[in-house]
Amino acid sequence: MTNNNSANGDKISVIADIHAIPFVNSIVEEFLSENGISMKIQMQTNIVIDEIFSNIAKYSYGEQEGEATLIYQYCREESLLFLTFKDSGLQYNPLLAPEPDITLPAEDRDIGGLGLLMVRNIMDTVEYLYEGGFNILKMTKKI
Amino acid sequence: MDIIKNVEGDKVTLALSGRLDTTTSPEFEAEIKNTITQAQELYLDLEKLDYVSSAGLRVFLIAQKTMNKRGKMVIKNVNEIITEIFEVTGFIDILTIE
Repeated sequence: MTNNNSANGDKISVIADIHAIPFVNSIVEEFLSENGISMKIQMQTNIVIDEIFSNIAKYSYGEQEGEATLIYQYCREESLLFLTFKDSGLQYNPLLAPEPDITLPAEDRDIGGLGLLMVRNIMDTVEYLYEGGFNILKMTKKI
Repeated sequence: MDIIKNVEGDKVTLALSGRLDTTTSPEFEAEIKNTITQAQELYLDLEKLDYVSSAGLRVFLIAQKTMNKRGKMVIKNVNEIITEIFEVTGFIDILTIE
């Protein structure tokens, strides 16, 4: 735990494989719980991690093995949660993908894009940068 | 995630608990595909389910499309987190939720 004037948190890097997601979730859940953040927000954060890590695992590195990193921080004074996802795979800005049509009947529905829609709904800000060979997805949520 | 299955003739209830996400949804999909062949009425009880990610929504959509042809599918006991997910993704309009 750091002093009260700055955000506390940590960084976790794993092989970009979907089977690493429960481990990442458990680390972040413990961190949020220690900071007194509600179970609802813990579960919503799990959803965000699941969506972003699974995208990195499935698409970022093709057949190659690569790494995915999550930096998680909580600033108590501002009640702000920061999540930053990084990978060094193919350059891809998910925020430019078309939004799904959520008004279609079941027969015409496709699930593409729903994950990001959920992420944008759960988090308050989501921003993409490509820097130093890394895809960087920075998000904040007011708690 | 755990799935408890209860069969009464062609009426099948699957009670889900835990998390329906990228790593657990293949198990749910396998159970749904197996169940769908024997059900005319499919009930999904989500009382003990913490949340659903888009991987889980995909399986709900497969199940709903199939059950639209075979009979009906009803989702019960949806918590606040999952209700919000159904709302933001428009699934609230294509699923029958009690």
